[in-house]
Amino acid sequence: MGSLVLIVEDSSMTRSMIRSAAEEIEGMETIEAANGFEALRLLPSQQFDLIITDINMPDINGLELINFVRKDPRFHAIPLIIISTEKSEEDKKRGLQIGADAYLTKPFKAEEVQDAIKALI
Amino acid sequence: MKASDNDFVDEAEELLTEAGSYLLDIQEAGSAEPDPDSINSLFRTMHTLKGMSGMYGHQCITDISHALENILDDIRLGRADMDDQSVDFFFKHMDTLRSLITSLREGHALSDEDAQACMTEITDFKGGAAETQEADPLEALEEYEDLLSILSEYEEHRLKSNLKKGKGIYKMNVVYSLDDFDTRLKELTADIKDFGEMLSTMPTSEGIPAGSIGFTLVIGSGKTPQEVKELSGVDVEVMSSMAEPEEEARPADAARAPGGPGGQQAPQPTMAEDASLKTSATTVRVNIEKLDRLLNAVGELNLIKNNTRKLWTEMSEVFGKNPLVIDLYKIVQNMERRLHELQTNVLEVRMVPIGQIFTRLGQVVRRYTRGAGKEINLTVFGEDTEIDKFLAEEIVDPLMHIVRNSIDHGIESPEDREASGKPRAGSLQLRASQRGNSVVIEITDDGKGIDVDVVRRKAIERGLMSSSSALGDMEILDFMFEAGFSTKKTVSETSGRGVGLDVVRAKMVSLGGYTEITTEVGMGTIFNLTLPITLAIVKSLMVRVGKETFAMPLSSMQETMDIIRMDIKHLDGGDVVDFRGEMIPIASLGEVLHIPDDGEEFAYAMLIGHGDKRLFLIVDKMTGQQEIVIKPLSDYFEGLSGFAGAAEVGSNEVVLVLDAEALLSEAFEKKKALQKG
Repeated sequence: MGSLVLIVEDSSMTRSMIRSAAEEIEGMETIEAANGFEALRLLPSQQFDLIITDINMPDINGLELINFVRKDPRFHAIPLIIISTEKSEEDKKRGLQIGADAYLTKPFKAEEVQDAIKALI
Repeated sequence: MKASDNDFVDEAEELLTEAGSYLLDIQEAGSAEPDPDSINSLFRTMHTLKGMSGMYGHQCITDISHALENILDDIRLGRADMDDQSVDFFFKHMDTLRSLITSLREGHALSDEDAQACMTEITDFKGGAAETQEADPLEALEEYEDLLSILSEYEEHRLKSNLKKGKGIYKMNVVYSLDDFDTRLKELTADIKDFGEMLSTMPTSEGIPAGSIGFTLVIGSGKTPQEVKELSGVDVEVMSSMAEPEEEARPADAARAPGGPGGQQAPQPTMAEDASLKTSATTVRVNIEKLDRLLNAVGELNLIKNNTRKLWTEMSEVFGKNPLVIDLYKIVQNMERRLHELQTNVLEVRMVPIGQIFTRLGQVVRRYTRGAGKEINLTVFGEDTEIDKFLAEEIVDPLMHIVRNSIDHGIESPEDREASGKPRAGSLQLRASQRGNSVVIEITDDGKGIDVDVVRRKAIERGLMSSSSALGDMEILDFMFEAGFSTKKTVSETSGRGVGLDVVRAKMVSLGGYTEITTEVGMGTIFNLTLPITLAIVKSLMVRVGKETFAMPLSSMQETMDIIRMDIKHLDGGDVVDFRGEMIPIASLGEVLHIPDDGEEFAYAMLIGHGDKRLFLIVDKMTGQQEIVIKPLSDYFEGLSGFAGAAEVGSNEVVLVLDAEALLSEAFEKKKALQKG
């Protein structure tokens, strides 16, 4: 049985890097959202096993998305990884407080992403 | 250059273009406070560029964008100020980045030296002095701790900044359908921007019915809660009251007076001394309105040229082959050639390759293919075909919709395809080509096609056609562009969002274009979009009523026909004419415009409008087609409705250009009045 990862990130390049890192793990499938709005729409449409999100995005940011996921009984058990820059130290702290399970710093190595995914799935 | 660098260079250039436009927004704010959104967006572009270049190993680009990102972070979080000097500084270093990326595109390896000099400058730079920190204003919002804990550092800073300025902080709750919440929310955000700032948008599903989504919005505004409620149409809860009413005049305006301490010219991007930097300065961003003005000036010059030619004709009649007359002729000829050249060049400046749009569509295809569980090979042809920049932007959404439509409803699942003997992966082709003064964009899929019989049944069901009418396949497929027309029973994730084909059609019509579908069951579907290369030059039909000549853009009309005035039926609700078994309203252009026609029994009519709002307009004569440059009417003609502008045709003759939409409304208003009376 494969696992499905939702990648929420507004930079298409970063998104595809996360995707290719994730898909190197066997049985791992990904779906991409270019912003928080797309993520909100995709969430109820599939059974996700993991969410990877950026923090600083237009429209709704990663923290708002994490809060939404954690407060919704349909999604609250999905593990969540933040991928953001060292600039958002304060935001990372807040993200972990409101329910993210791990965080990675950009720029990241493919193995870091893979290790984080394996630890949570 | 490595192949992978191609992707990097493309995306980096896009980012820098984006960054440039934010910077222009900030510069335009002058000494007034720049829009925090623009600063935050500029910060994000640098942040993304840094991340990207890091992954591709372009250290010097990483270093510079990182350093710029740090400064912008301080500015967006209120630790430094965005003053004129900072704007200058960012323009300069954006140019540095652009030239580094240009040399990468040209295949030069980047040396650290390139970046070393400006790095020193950047690290020494401190933004403008920030306002001094005071007591934590967030104490006023203690009871909303839950809400505050979700704010990002940036949002928290914006909230503090609004509190410090004595703005009211308000909470709003909205619930939207999952289908269109993003558009609805964006509309609301845009409305709020007129009188305040959206500080946070928190989605929630608590107590929200399935299929919907709720949002808790926090806004800062100088308006009273009552005013905010009226302006936004949403109930408001006060989190913190406004300190005092908003002042109308900005004190900063005084400082902008010439010679004043703050009075200075808008900072210009600094010209770099380094040779490699100069290459990046070969492109200029110009507002399309400026190009419109330029085109208008060309039109004026054309009129003057025609007057000069007329003068020469008259002089040669009077003076014969006088050497002075011959000189004048040479000047007129020369002027004509140069003017033609000028016009072509001005039009060319507005053109962009359509490949820009195709790239964006390609991203959508990749994203949606996966979501829809399909396999699709996308191929693109004719990406160098040029189109007016304005049209290019306007056409993106219709194209996007058709592409999603093909992925969703056209191309079958890999399993179904294999079962019917097709390759697993479907093929989707985007093809652009130029035909005369039109650009044709074809979206071809090799999917399951559209069953014309299903469309016919549906059209009869909806009363769009009678079961006895003998329409061709093309005409029947055309019903798919009618509002609310869908043959699809279930709505999928991809297509369930946003526009239908009726919106595609309406957009195309407004751009003077049209849409066609060709399809074969089991083989696939071709969507064909034809639109003018530019809206600046329009192909028109020249028509006469009485002694007057008018131009009607071809794009505004569907058909023309001969008509005998006797055949017009006079009903209570107005005149109609039988057109292929259908009764269509008909009116005389002369009557609408209050000018007498020639009274001949034999006349012509043009069909304008679409859907159930169609109308034949009677004219005396049709005198041929002509390309015209539409120019706005002067104030002298203000209040005159029914005309889109004026155009110069032939020598020294100016005609009025008809505005089909306005004429339609006018004719239908009259009809309504008639029915009531």
